[in-house]
Amino acid sequence: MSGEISPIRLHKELSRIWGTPPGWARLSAVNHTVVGRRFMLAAFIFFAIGGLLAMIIRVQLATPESTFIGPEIYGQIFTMHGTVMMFLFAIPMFEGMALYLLPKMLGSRDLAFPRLSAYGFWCYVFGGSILILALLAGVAPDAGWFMYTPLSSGRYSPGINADVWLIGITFVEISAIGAAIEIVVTILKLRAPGMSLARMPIMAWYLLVTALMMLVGFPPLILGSILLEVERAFDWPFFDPTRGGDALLWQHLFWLFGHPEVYIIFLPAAGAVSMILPVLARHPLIGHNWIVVSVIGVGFLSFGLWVHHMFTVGIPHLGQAFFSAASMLVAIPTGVQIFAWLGTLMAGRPQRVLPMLFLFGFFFVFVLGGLTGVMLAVVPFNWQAHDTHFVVAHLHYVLVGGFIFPMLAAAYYWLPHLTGRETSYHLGYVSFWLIFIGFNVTFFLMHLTGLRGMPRRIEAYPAELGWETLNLISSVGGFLMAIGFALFATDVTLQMLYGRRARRNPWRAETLEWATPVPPTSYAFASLPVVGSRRPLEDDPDLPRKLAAGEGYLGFARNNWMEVLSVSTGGGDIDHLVMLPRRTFLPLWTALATGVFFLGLLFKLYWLSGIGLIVTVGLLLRWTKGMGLQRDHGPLEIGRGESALAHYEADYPPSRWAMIFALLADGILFGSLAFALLFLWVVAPAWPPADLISGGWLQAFALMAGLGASAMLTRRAIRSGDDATPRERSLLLAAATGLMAVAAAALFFMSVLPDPTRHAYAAVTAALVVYCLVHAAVGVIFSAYGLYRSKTGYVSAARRLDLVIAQHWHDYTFATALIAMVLVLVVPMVMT
Amino acid sequence: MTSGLRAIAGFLIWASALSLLYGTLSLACAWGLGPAVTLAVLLILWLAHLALGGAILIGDVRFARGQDAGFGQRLSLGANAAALGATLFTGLPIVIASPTC
Amino acid sequence: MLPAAAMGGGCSGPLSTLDPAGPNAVSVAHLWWMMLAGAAAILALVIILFLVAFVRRDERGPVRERLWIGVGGFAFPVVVLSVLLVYALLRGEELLPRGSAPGAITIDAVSRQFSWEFRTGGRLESSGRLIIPTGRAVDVRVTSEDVIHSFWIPRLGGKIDAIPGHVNVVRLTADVPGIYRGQCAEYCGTGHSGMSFEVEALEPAAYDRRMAGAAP
Repeated sequence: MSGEISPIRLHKELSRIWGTPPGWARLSAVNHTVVGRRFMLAAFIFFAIGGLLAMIIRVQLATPESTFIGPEIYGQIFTMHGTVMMFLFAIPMFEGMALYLLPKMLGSRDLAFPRLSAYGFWCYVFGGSILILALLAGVAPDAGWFMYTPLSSGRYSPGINADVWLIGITFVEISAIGAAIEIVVTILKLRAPGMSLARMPIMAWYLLVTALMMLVGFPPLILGSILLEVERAFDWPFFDPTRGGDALLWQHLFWLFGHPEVYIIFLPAAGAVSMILPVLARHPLIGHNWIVVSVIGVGFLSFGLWVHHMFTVGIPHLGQAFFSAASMLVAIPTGVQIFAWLGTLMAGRPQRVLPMLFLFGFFFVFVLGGLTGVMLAVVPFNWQAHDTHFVVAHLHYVLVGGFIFPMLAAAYYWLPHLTGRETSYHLGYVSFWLIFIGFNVTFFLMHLTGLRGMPRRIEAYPAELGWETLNLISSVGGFLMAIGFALFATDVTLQMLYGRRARRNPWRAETLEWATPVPPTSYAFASLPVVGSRRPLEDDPDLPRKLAAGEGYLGFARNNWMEVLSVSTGGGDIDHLVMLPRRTFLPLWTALATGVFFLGLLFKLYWLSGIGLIVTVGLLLRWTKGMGLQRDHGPLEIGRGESALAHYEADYPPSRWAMIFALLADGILFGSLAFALLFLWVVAPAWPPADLISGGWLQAFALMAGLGASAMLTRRAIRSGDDATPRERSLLLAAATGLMAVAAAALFFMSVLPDPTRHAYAAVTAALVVYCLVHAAVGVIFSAYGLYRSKTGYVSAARRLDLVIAQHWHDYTFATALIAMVLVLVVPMVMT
Repeated sequence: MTSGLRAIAGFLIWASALSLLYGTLSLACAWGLGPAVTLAVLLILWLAHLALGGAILIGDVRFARGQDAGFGQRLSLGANAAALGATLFTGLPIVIASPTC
Repeated sequence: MLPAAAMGGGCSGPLSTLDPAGPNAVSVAHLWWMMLAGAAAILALVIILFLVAFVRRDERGPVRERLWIGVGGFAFPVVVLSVLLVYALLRGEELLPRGSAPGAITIDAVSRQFSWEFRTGGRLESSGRLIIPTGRAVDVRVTSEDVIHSFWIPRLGGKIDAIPGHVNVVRLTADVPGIYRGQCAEYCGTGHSGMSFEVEALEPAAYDRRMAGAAP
């Protein structure tokens, strides 16, 4: 099967299986190169929209007491500027880069869950469109990009604007969580044989930490958004201090997400710097292992900083001091990276090329921003500078410096790979200087503007305060910058369309992404390499030709399967063969159905949401059609005389890991809800409430019994091995006990809880019960699905993946329900 | 799997320290425990976390010396050393700022 | 700060933190200038190192990884940040409204969309104008009746948020008599940019006369 096929024929067969046909079929693409490029293009379009909004702000602020736009519209403009840049540009841009580069850097043909990335793309586009359409309709969110309560609560923001933010952003976040799970699993499992963690390109470490941060950092925001939307729609008073809620609960939940968010944005860009700088300096990265430690350090430390956004809310000084210390601390792993990069430059022979110029821009702008960040970590200084234009200046220095400049460098560096054409840099130099000078003119003096007392988010200021000259200068700089970006976009477009065909690997880099054809084929690698070091192309410069000739693993096409290899997490030894799903329109339909669900919530047409939800669940189940094997295959040939099991018969295939990491995110969401209860109890006014739950022990017991039984029965089903009858009986019973659990939770909700609109205690308790109910209901679906798969012949002793995944869900649901019941039943006893 | 967990054990301890120190201070203020009691409890929590982090680090050092330290062991050593320093620095305010509300 | 000086008025202004008129604001302004000097030096160091790397040198010695990572990346920031942390915490402690300062006055500040009310001793002083004596600590107890606002008199000291359901205290002292300006510093809706207030600081004798004269 292997080695006998010509490279041309191999290319044709692989392209037929992996490729995306033209026309409407393009909408069915699941290929990482295609979806990655789409993410980056969409992100750039949103960047342009965000930039336009910024231009409007600068026009408004250029003169004192300007009447260009009024405060209502201005509120929408600055809210949307922040929201679009943070949620619709920065995260999706790095996701697109990661999707495009990762499999190639890791020596794999695609990501772990191609349909998930396609689904994520559509969710992102639809969710983002909801926000932009609201902007065009004049009902965009207007309470600031961090939407503080009670301003964003129903009472003070009665319109649909805040709902657009809450629902639209949550829709987009599904995309982010999905991408995060995919990136983690791909990096841990889908690498080229021989690529141990030590031999992985440094960018993979950055992306691994970033994706794990997303899994832990996004759920608090998702929970907060759900709680605020429920408060707005059903009057459950989570944030209303007159009914036991607290405005600060939102701030904690938001910033628990919000601070890691900015490091989630920074780290992939720093990863790009770590990849590009050594190549352009013609010297390997010094301190590689310390950089890995630093990236892990930043990942953890960034979760311990969030209160530095809240230094003025009245928290005890010692409490603020912990976060002040941690905020300063995070400068150290950042500094390690900076000095490692400087050392690499000094030890090498750096080339004066355009990407390097953008890296200079990064060093200047980001380090300056980092330094003002350390200043803001100093509590007494923060008390003066908080909520002024000093912070606006700081955040733009770190975000533009830490993300935009590296991304521009990355764009020019990898453009030859994306397009396969030679890149001319002349226009790029002009664009760099316009952006660099324009940026500094806009934001450098803004530090002074803030220290001279100009607060954030004001649409007009009087003339006698001494801010007008500074603002005018900032506005002029803004236009310079805009021209620079427009030049960049023009330059890239022209090169993509008219550049001359280029040779592969113009930078003489050593990592695997340069071993694919340029522009890349849909399958990336005609056969998979064996990796012996961190610099595969240096070890074997002839590698690209050998891989194209089919000399690596999987150098063949069979059964119309899309195949990649999964390796052991640490050492990179071959573990099993993964068969990826082929292109399909299902992700698009599923995203549309999800959109219907969210639109129903937005317009308060809950029957529509119900339909959307049912269709979405149905379509998600449909994704599994045809996936799986109906008989035990045993080890399959993978080339080079070796063989491996198909992933359906393996112990820890990618989808099992996906469930584990999804449950991690889910667990953080649950933890945030538990935190909400305890926080409100300790901090909110008007506790303890007058009405507590009455009884509930019987219903709680029934709930736990049902969930426990489902978990045990699923275990029994797995242990039944090849014996279908006892297996199916167990699964049927598991579905029944699951239904009993759902009923118990529903009874608890209806008969035991006090009215959730009366007090936040009742609201949070009800939320905990609903959480258990939803998870129990999904458990029933898992049991029924397992039964269906067994009856259609997809389950055996060796092929038990479906049941194992269900097992994880049941175990998790049982554990969280146990904690929830303890909280719900025991806390009232302690309160009185 | 276990070597992965070992490499992040130090930072998990740091996270626990920060959460417990901040949470305990908030509870102490809500329950009116007074500065002396608050200080004592915070000190004990901080020192306990330092001790735990130190123990893990010592284990890492011994393991790395004992044999040819691979990438995983060196990563663990570096990460747990950094985390111990972080726990020390983060808790330092206990002995500088006053434990009042 | 040369370009700033050229901006007319340098650092002064009715809302300027760099034109302090009370000990809290003075303390923070000093802190700012010191941090600015340090930050400028560090930025210069980084940029110079970057540029020097491009100067063509034929002899490139062995890579001194320990120097770059250990000293530059680790030891140097640790020392600087430790000093900064200790200094920052001690400064912060001084600004807290702890215990009762001699002769301190307590004022309640109640905010709502989009105005401020100040009461001394339970008696409504005025909307929009805060009257305080110079040379004595003024504890302002700040709260809100609707959304989150923020109480800020930049020339006298740092800000404190006005949160519904909570009362936060900030202690300020004015050194020099005069009219100061304060404003809301947390976005609170469409009237946010106009939510300012005046502070009239009077010599103690004049202050007592004003308070006596206002009594019913």
